[in-house]
Amino acid sequence: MATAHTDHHHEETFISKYVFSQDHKMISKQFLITGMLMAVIGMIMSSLFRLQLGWQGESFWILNFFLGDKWAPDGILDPNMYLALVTIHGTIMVFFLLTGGLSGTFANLLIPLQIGARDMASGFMNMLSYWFFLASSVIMVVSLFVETGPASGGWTVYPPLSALPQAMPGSGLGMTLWLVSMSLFIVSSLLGGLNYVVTVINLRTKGMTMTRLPLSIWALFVTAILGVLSFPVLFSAALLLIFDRSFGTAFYLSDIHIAGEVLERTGGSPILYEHLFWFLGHPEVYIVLLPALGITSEVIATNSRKPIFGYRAMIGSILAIAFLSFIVWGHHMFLTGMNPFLGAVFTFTTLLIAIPSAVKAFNFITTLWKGSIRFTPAMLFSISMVSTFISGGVTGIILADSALDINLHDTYFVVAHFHIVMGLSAVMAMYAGVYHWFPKMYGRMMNRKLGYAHFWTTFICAYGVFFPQHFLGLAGVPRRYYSNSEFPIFDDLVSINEMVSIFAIAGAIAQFIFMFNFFYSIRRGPKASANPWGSNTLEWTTPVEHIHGNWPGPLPTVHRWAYDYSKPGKEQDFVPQIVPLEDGEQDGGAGH
Amino acid sequence: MITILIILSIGLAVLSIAQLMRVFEASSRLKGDSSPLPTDAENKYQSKMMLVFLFGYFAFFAWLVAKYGDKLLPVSASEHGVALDNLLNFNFAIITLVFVITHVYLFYFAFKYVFNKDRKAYYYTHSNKLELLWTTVPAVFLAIIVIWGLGEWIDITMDETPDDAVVIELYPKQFDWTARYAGSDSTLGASNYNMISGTNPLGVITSASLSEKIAELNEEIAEFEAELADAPEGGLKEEELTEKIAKWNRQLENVMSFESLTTLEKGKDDILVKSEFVIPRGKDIAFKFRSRDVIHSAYMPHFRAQMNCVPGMVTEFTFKPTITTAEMQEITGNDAFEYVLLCNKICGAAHYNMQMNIKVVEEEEFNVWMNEQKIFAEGFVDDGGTSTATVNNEVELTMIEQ
Amino acid sequence: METLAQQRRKASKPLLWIGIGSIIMAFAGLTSGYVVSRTTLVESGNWLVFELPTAFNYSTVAIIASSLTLWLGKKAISNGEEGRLRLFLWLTIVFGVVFAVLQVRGWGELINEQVFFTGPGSNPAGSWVYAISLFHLAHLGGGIISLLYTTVRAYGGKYSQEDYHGVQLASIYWHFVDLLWIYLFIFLTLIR
Repeated sequence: MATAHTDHHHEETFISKYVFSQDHKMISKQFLITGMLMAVIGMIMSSLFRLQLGWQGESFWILNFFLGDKWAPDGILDPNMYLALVTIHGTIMVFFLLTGGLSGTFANLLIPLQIGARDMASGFMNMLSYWFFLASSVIMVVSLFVETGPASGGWTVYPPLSALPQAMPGSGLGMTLWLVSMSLFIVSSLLGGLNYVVTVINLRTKGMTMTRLPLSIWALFVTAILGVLSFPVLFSAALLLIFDRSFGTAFYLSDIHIAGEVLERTGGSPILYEHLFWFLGHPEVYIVLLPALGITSEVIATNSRKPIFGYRAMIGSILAIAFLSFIVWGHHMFLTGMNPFLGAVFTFTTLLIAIPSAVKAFNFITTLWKGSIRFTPAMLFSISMVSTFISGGVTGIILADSALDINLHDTYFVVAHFHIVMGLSAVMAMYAGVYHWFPKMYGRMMNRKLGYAHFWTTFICAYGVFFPQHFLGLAGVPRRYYSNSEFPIFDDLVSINEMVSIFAIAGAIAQFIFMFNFFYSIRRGPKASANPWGSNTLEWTTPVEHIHGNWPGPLPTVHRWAYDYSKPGKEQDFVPQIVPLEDGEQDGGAGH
Repeated sequence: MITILIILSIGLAVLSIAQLMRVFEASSRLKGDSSPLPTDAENKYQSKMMLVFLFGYFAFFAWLVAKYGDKLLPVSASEHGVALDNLLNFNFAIITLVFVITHVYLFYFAFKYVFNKDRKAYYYTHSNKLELLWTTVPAVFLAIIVIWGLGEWIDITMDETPDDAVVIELYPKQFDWTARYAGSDSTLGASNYNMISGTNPLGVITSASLSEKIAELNEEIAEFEAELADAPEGGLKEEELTEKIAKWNRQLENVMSFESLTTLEKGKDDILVKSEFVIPRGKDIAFKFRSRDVIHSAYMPHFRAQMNCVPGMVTEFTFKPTITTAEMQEITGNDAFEYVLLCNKICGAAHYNMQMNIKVVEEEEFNVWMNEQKIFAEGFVDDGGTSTATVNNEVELTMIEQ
Repeated sequence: METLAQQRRKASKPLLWIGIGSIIMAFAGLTSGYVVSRTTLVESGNWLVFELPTAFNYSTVAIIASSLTLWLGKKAISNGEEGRLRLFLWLTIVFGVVFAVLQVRGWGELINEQVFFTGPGSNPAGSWVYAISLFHLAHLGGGIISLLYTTVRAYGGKYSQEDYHGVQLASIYWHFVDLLWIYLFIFLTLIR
């Protein structure tokens, strides 16, 4: 076999190269940049509602600047708009940044490159996946400009609030667009996910056995399986919600008297929606988190110059987490009058997840032990990811307990918990991934000094925002409150909210350091070498300049696992996967 | 104008940073620093920062505890809440320990094992012993947490409610609460959303409210029919009115079907209150929750009690208050302290201000209060609840004699 | 080593199978939602019990027949009989369309029996039957499109005894949609 070029031997135009590209590397960049732009919108939204929460009822011209006289008259945020901002912030961050942006970017970039494939199993489906993602992003953004406002019922859009336009302004056209956008998003995720799963199963190069796969691939692979199995259920839930909203059925509605009239639709149950939603919703948490854990494993091993500790245990815990994630959804619904026995079962299964999670955390820490740590920005972000994973994870033990959930359910304690364990961990890992694989994506290096500045401001502000929120939760402050000043019992906590807002806005501004570094380095960063980090995995054996088919000659053959760093008896402190085993040499991944 | 200036200055700022970067990069290239990897000095510096961060993080935690530790919820005012607080504290002790130990290791290792080109990292792939250790140790702690936690859960949710419990229904709508006491027969009268009217906000079904509602619906239908007679033929107006009449007739049919209920008298002695409800100390309070429009959640943080209110179904929660409002005012040193009921499930614009005061008093006082209240059969006037912007902490009885 | 094109060809079947797994999850969500909904409504005495339309019996027969003809078509091409393949593809499409028509006819029957999808007088029991059969029909529509595409390619002489990969893919999906309906039909018949 001569070259891979024969597979794609046609003239490339600007359109086929940058717009309707079927090359996984280009699609990966498209996902990353779209996800980043969506994240900026989500971040600005959070800064806007933090202004209201930090200084309640005060006037800010910037609110008026962004939202206009309708939603921020005299610079004071409208309560309906507050709920809309919270809702769309959640939707964008969970789905568009941390599902589409994170999986879309790194699954596309890493899967073919790290398993030794020329491209995805279906380039066409892969392209469609991005275009559905872009369409859904555009519709979500368009929904912000609807007269009655975007969807405002919280990112979980529980009916009847989301089902009835008379329940709140955001449940009108804004909610319809939200559902359309999410349906497209689900299609995008499914097209992408199918591709990722099949590519990992079928397109691995010679020698790349499942137990030689880098953990990033394991994580992305299992994530894709989770998505393929859980997103269709959300699709069903959304379909029934569309029927209820637009065709007058009553799957989720019953016994309602609203806007001065009875609603003639009976027999449904909002709880049914909650079940269907969280059957996706909980695996979704791991769809966000697992890729983050995978990226962290790669970056930590490479920069500690040490094998990842307990490779097989890491795979085992990914699989255990994935399996358990399907049988825990009820813990979001302890207070819906569910059978107490069922509640007990969900408490038990949920707490079980703590065990594989603990294994992961301890294995990360042990990987650092006696390592030789190079503090690249990616490494710093990965270490901070381990910290947020632990800090946010331990409070999950409290919330998983159905009895303790009674008093903490839907308070700021929950907000703090999931923002730290899911939001921060995934964002930190995503940054680590971008800093680490930037040379592979763009052939240039990002500026390290700016990277350090970005890391420290982000890390400090992140904890400054979310750590104090535990205290709000323990004081009984409910989430999604436009203002706490209506309740005298919260008067002592004003200064927490102010502090949180200052950190949030400072943190948001700090992200522009990254944006600047990113776009500047694409154009002007110093040229990267083929393997700048001294890494073992296959992607660093490809040429710096991207070509179709990834490798100019035949596909590389894999001879060892991905973690032979600092192996005794080797001259260099890394041994790439393509180096054959010497006589009598044991493959590190082989276990004992 | 301001907008343009801002955009302009942001643009200039970005440009100037870009220029600075180029100068900066050119100079570092001159110095020969072109390696993608951090320099020794950078590694050293960042590793020290790891340790600094560790201490900073712990100090922040300690400062928050010192500053806000006493501003959290006061001691639980319900029986089960005390047990929950103990469980919570036990959990906190464990997770704080885990948090501290893991963070010390994480950042200390990061500090200690900084890159050194003369020292090769220790090639350590796995250790069954260690991995078994950190599978079993968490498992043991989790087992304790699960057993204790589920014990409490079963106590709270599965205990039989005693017969002498005070039965109260909490009925939310956008954006206020109404409480209904079962009255002298300890049984809540039947209710249905078809029955809701201005004078019957909960849709309680009694023979009187039934005939009132039937009369009201008939009256409205007659009005629509009169309008219909005047409406131009074939127009939108006609269509709308015809539909309305059909809908009202269907509702009328539903309402008439309640006439065959055998429990029509149970609701007569029910007592409806808004703004504030009163409960006796030391007795079980059996709450039942419905909802008129969307999902709400009845959250009573001082009693460590919460339950969602879901349209179309009845949910329940029972607790026993142990501290009266007066006593709690003493404990907190705040004369204005009131227990509150909050809405804790997003329900619309005024979600943040959907509240009701709860007053806990001694049983004798409670009985006196109950006797002063008007029963449902004597009529109820909706005062609009608490959805107005200001909160009135004064006791304000909403039962107004007709 | 195989070229990317060869690898992709090999991967197309697993791709389809996992896609099918994903569709199964969507219907598993719907049918378990049906069970949850039914349980609560039966408890409160508001579950409407009605017979499934007789047209659904005939449509079930039609879709089984379509699977049969498609199977014969695949058999034909495996013997190299391209003409018979085209014939059976057309028959399959016809049976598929008959199925779709009968489904719509079934909804008509339901309306005659005062079982509505929506509006006053509708009951979730009825809405579920409409929603589930409608969602299935949408998937069948995808099947018909893929069959039409296969037929067009069959006329273009793209399939031979040695290579009828496209026919295999289309028939896997079609048999799946068929089995899916049989499952739904049995499910809806048994759990009323």
